[in-house]
Amino acid sequence: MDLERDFYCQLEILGQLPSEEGREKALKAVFAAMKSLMDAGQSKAMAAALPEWLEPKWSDDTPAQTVNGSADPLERVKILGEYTYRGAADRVLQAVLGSLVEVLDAFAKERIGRSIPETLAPYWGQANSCSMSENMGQFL
Amino acid sequence: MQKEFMAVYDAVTMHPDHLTTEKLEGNLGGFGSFNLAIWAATNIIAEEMQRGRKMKLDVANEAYTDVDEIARKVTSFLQTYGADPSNSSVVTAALLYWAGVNASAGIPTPNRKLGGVCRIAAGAPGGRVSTLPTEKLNNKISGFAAVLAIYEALQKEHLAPFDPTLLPVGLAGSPVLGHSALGEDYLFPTLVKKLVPIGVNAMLKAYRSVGIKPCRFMAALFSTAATLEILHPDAYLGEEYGPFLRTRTPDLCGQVAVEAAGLPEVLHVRGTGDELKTAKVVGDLGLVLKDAGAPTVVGMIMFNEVNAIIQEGPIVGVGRGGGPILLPLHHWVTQPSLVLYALGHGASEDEAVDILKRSIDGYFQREDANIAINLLAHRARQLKRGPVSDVLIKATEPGKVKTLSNRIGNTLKKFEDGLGLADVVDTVEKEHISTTQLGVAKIMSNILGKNVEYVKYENVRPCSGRRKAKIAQKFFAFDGHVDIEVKVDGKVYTYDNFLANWAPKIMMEADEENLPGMAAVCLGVTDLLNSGACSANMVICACVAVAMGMDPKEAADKVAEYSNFQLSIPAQSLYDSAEYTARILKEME
Repeated sequence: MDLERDFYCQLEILGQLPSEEGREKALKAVFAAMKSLMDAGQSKAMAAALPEWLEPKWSDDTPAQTVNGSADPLERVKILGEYTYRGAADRVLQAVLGSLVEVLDAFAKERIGRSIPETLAPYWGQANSCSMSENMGQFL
Repeated sequence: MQKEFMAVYDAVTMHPDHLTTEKLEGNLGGFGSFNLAIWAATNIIAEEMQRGRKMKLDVANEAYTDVDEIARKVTSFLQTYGADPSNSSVVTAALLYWAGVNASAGIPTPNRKLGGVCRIAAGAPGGRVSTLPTEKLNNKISGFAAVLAIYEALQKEHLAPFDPTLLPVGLAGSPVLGHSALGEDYLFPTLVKKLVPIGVNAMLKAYRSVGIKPCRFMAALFSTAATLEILHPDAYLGEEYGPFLRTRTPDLCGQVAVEAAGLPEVLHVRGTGDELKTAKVVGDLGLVLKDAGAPTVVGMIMFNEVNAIIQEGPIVGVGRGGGPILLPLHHWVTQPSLVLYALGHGASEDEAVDILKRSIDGYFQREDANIAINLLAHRARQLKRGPVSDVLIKATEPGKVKTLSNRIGNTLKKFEDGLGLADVVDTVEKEHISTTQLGVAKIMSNILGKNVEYVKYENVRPCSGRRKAKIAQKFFAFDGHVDIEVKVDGKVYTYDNFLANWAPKIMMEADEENLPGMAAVCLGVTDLLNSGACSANMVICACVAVAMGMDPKEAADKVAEYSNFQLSIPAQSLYDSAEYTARILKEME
């Protein structure tokens, strides 16, 4: 499987997102929420660490709804993605980060880890792809 | 009129079954149904989730996992209220699935499957797909259709992609076949692609042969289950079919079944906007059915209604309790299942309340549906209270109070304006029909993808002329008469005495010219026939008549006589609430 296909396949399964529309919406909401929590330097570092086929999605500056107030990443994903409950926002945030983990090399992962803001760090630290989440521990 | 208002309000709401023509207590022994126990049992699952129980099947090196424990509590509870062990098993598995539990885990020991876990927890015997009935859609069929067709195919031709007599000694059951390229890339995918469509088509054909509109969802599930009885149900597949550790034979069965049955690739969960991959749901629930025991038709009705949280349910054949029609109350379990889904997927209580309220918008009679959900929630809470009941009541209580207050106030005003009881009943029923008409035009346009500009249900009353029995001439549900006019995509269809004349004519003559009109109006007719599920209007009429001075028995008798369709069957609740109105008023004087 090529990496791009693998990424979207992981996103579909982890995020419970079988439609392309749903995956694009999730990606846009999560990236917009992450960017809204980063300064310019952090955002630039993130863009540089992403695969080149994904970087345009990060740099897409289509105006997203403004998110004020809470710095809670889940609340921001919920608002930006117009999800009806926090659990859905949590699921897509974890899915996007987990799918990234699967396709990034160690250098890129480390670079993102250094640039990610404090509020997102726990989510990044727990990000698991399909092969790592849920089933991985069963065989250890 | 405050005293009269209070007396009527209390009389109609004091017991949940005062607002329905149905006999709720009859459900508590398992005779016919056990839906109230399911409503209550969802509280057990939600409480366990809130205690931090692990809602996942895994291969933990423990004799019993959290899911085993929860399944034991839930199946035991359901059986207390009369559920057959296998019925308790299949329903518990479906509830746990929608609460977030995965359908299977593991390859080696321990290998856990949700259907099997629930069957063992329930103490139910093992079953086979050939004896598994579908839910009742007037008639019903069984998995025998799929099993027969699949085994006939096995006898007629060699389906494996190689000659197994060439396999070296000792390879039967070996990982060389089961867990490597030979099985995962060749044998299993080949068999899935050949067997599943055979089973699906056999089920669809059997449905058609006995006059049931083919249920694509159940055909897909049953064929998946029948195929997995033959195939290795835990084997992984080559990565061309999906990521490793996430793609097994049930997933491919689901994918092939979805294609064969013509199901949409994506479904949605009511009120949430959440997407579901249809293939995944079919694969998972098909696997559950394979292992869950030997459910009866009642169990399969409940199984399907639990699954009716799927928004596209009316289109693909997943239950009927989620809307748009009011169902007899003993079918309804969709709402607690939906709340369980929401809580299990991380919704807060307030978010779950909003999700449930949004889901009620999908009914023709939104207010009556809200009342029906509320009264079932209250009755079930008397069996077992908990987080699901809290959400259900918080979501529906304000709407119920608003609806009943308005209706009681309006009915009192009608009497004050000088209308007699017969005219009041007639006016109230016409208002109800008007709401149904608006709901049908709006919702059927969406369901059919056509422009249902308007529909008129007229002359709605008992006695179409088909039956001579006196009771049939008294109650709409026994021999209903309705004239209909509907405009669909610019064409007007008129049907006089629809149920007795036109429905049989269109179907017996395969009258394609009139089918578009019939498709647009039928669910609305069903809604009228089922309107006794929430009999609030007629109960209020009787109680207000009592409040205005009429004798309780006379008021109930008169309402039963004047009602053309909303008391679709005889109802003791009408007499009870009228009598309580008089009793309360007497004490208040």
